[in-house]
Amino acid sequence: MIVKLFPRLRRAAVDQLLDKLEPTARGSAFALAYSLPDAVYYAPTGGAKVPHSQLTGLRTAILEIAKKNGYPRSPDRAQASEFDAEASIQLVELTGANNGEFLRDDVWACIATVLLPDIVTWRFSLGARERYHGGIRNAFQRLWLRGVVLDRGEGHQERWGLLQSLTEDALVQITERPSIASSKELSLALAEGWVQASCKYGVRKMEELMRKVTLQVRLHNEIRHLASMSTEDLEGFINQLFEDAAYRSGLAPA
Amino acid sequence: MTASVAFPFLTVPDSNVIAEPWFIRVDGGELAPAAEFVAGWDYACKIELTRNIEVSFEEAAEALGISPKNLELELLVEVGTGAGRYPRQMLTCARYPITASASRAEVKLIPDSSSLSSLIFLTTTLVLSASPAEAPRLSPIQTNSKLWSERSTMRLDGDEPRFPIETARFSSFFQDLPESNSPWYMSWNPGDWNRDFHGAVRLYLNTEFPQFIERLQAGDDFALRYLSVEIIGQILEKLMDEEDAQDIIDNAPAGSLGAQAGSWVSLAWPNTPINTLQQKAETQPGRFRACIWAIADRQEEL
Repeated sequence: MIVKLFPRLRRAAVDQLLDKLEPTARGSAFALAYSLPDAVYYAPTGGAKVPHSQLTGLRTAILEIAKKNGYPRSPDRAQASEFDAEASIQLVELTGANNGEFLRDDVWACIATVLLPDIVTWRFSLGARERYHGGIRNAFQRLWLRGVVLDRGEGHQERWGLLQSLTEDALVQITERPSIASSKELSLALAEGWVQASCKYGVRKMEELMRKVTLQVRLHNEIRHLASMSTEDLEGFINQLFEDAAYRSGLAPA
Repeated sequence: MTASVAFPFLTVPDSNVIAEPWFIRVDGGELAPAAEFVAGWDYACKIELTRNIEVSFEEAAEALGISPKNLELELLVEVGTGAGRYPRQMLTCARYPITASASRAEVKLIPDSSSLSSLIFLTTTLVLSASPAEAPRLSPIQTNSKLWSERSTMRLDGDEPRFPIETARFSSFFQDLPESNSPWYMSWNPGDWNRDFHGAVRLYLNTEFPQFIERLQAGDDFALRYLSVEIIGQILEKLMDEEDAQDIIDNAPAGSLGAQAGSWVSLAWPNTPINTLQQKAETQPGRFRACIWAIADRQEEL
């Protein structure tokens, strides 16, 4: 299968484009001019440039989700959360999970800064530059990663249930820890453990519990290969960590 | 084995594992020792990675304090990818049971190139595959306990330079600030020595100095070495300001800014105590900087 090569944008070019962006601007330079800025580049070989129609399709799909959630009015917490979950699903469905292009910071920098800058400004702000630059805090890179690691699989009845159930804090605990997020098995087990524990102790108690358990997972992972444990063993191990953390915090089932 | 982790159980020493080097075959070509850099790679390439590993089973059992008849081991060989100190995505995990009679694994991995990005991480881990029936208190007992591990990293060819470099128009970048008149500057934050080197440091070249950039692009030896000395000098001089410079080097994770600085220190001043270097940097800064030319001379590339 031929890899679709996505446009890339270097860090300095992101800053230069952001300097020219108006906080109230709608649309993107790309959508208006139907061409990409000069600073954009592609991998020289190894695939075919993604067609413009696919880039505009990506923009349209995400814009629609934003509009459903209040765009252009500032989103409230629930709308922001709903946007994040829906956009995660859409990004994974449009880009796929196993394409080296989407592990690149410069690809996501281009998507955020050139294709969807108005949505980033709406969801965060123009001043939040880390949301445009590539990396784990990029407005869309983080959503794509969530979708990839928390996808329960095509045949699952509640395929995207974890994206909708987990709180922002829980999602950050998983996806901003490379030692956890690099392993789909470990990420899924931790997320499933969170869902079970939240039913038992209540969502409001979960922030403290999740932080304690995430720390324990990272410590245990140094001395034990957690990702290669059987699904049942890993599930049991994670559930036990939640139980222990709840016990130490003096929490009783809600 | 990870030196910075204090294991709460006995582990297998390096001397009990004969880990032969990795070999790589690109696009059906000759099998060659895997270098730090996979030249000519792109998403359409076919890559085959091989290595042989042998565990001295009896000696490993002795090191772990577990009788060989009660010991069950497994080698896990993982392929991960993505830029940074840690892989962003683990792609595969191949398993090789290790027993007294079959203690050698012939590893052969064929990762899908279209899933790869920037770096290939090859992690080999020896784990306990079953809890031993009997074991002394200090022996590992939990399945999947890590007993020995090793990681290799290979950079993939593409547009990524080994040292992150960007060009920019400094008059736009810095506007009226004095920095706008500089031909180059290095963007980095001293202090976070554990950060991945390639993420922590970035060199910006000012497009308003086209002759300077042309000299670098043409591979002008003196210009490249001069720039290397300036970059290494900035980092090492900041390191020398740190009271706990030796601890920073000793505890720096592989691939981090601290580890890179430590390797430059060993290259320029082998076996020299760090406090001697700190004194030199403080009292003879010119000579300290001059020594760095020795590193730049011996580095093929930053």
